[in-house]
Amino acid sequence: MANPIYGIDLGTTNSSIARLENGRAVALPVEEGQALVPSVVSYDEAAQQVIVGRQARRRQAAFPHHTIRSVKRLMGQNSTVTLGSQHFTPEEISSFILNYLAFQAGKLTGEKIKKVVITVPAYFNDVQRRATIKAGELAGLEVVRIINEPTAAALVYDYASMAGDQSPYILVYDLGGGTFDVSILEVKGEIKEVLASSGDTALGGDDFDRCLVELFQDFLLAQVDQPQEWGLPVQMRLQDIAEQTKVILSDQPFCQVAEAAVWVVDGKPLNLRLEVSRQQLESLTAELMNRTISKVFDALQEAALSPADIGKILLVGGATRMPMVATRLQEIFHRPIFHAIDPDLCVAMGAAVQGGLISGAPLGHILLDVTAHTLGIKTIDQIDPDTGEADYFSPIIRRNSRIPTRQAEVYYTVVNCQESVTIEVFQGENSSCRRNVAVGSFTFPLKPAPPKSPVIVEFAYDPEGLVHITVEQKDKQNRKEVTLDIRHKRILPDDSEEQGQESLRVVNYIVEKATRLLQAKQLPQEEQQRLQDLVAAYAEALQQEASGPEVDALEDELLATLEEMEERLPFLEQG
Amino acid sequence: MWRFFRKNPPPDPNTPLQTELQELKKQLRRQNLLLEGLKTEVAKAVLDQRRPQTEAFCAMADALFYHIQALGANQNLNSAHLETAEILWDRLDDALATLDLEMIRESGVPFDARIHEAVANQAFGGSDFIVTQVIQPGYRLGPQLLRSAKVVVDNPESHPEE
Repeated sequence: MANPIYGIDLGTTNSSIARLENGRAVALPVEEGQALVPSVVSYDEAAQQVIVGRQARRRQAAFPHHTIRSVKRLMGQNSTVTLGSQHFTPEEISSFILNYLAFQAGKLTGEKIKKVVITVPAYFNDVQRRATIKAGELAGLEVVRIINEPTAAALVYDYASMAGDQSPYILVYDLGGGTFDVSILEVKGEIKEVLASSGDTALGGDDFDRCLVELFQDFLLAQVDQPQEWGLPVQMRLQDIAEQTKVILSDQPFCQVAEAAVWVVDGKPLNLRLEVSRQQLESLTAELMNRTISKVFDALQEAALSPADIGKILLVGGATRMPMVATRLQEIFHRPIFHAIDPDLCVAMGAAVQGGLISGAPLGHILLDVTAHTLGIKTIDQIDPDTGEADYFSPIIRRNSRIPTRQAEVYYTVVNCQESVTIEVFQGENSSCRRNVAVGSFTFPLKPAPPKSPVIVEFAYDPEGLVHITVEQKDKQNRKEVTLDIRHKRILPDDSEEQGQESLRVVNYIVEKATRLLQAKQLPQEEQQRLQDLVAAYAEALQQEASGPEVDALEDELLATLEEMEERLPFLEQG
Repeated sequence: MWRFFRKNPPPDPNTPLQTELQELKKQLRRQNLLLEGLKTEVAKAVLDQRRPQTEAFCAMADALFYHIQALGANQNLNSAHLETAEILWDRLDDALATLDLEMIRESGVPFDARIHEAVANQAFGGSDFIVTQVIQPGYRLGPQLLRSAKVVVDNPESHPEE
């Protein structure tokens, strides 16, 4: 395309740039192989040069008077930013970031970037929006449109092959490193209007890390006789350990922290050796989480809506990777939570989609390889009144999780010296196992242990559709691994009483084949487009009616196309 | 004297050749870009493949670094201890080199924002900073920076003479 329009997320902490590649939004790894670039600018007095990104951030403590971060907070203000001997307006500082992103992206794509769509927070006023446009112009870019960050996130999910509710209201929950925003959008045809927005500019993922730092400090303090000063090295180190622990606890129920010589007191090294559970982190950060939920209700109130009115919930911002975010929102809204697109990059990707819409570029569906259904196991948290047997479906990997994925949950034994547990795996969306599909089961013998002893069940879903299950009796050196093939398991529609109907679909198989073909670079673009269109039509037909001749016809056509393309692919590879 | 010339100059016989040359240059640029992209992808694939080993090695190297630093803080190291530490570092560097890994832990070198992240500045001014303390070591895998070293910087010349 002659003049592609790039999308830029000009963030408070980090920024990123994306463009359309074969109709799909892709964030570009513009710095040190990473797509996220710190929104930090530093002026190098000796070289008389402006430095942006990671290098600028690394200079901040060395050159505090030459470096600025979070300039976004100053946009639209009539203020001057002094970096050493130089004076700049906030717009000029932002223009350096935009210019850097465009230049680095140009180096990657070989294109001279001229036109961009830039995102801004929904709460930005006209002055702040005009300042953002000016920043773009100063960077030598034509800002073809300014769009709201939540709108961009919603746009990118519009082009993902995922079903949502028919309600026109979308809630975007954006928990970044240092800020929290929640917005409610109303979809009116092609337009997405921001009905309400709320947030907290002093609340983010870093605050969650701080709770863990305090936990570690308490642990270390218990090892010393009298209070000591925390030096800078120990503080920096604890922050890093806290962040790593938070990341591990996003996938695992426990994290073994084992760090040598974290603190030296009176010449004696103190180690940080403790186990932190996800439950512990959730309890430590419950108050922070509640603050975000309270803002969610503020936004609902402002939009005069109730949780039941919301059709889709989208997660944006790296801190939303913590499972408790999705869990809490699920409890409130009972709606699908969308988090399959990288929450750090989906705003820039949405801006690129907007650019494509403006320029009339062909837009394909982002074919996400996601789990079509929730996978979990049967527990006794609920009893079926008819049979008197356990019938609670405890989810482990939630629907719409990006594949490959790995998640673990902890369960507890019921009786003293329980001999074994039966792991019965189901997939579906109902809290009752009877209404979901049994995938397989196996028995795991236990070593003698008191009641309420933990047993960790981990599911790893690989791209081939295999689920590797690991069951471990904690602290007992007792472990078992089992692999289940769930590709050919048929899925029951939600709440269906007519089990075994002909309308059951093998969606996973089709998604897997289509994804593989769409990733094949040898497939001509028009063929890719044809396949994308077919998959999109099929996904839409499935959403509309879970069965029927239309779906059957589309499925036949899709399978025939997949086979035809697969047969041609070896030839194409040779060519 | 008037010189008359046509509004549209006659076609230059070299033009098709130049056009072709430009086209070739353009293709070459594109191919170079593709090659660069391919290189990046290969480097990323190699990195992903080596990630489990590199992470394990870095964790071990970190632990050793903090342990030796703690021993140093004790001020009770004699020359034998120091020699042992030196041997350990050499062995570790050799082991890291087998994976093309390099640890960034040197003090007394000029501050370089490409590999160092300053966390504190003890200078009274100036700009030619040197690394006086490494708080967290960094790592490089070949030319790629995996993690910058967190350092304290200073400019000894900036301190007022006592």
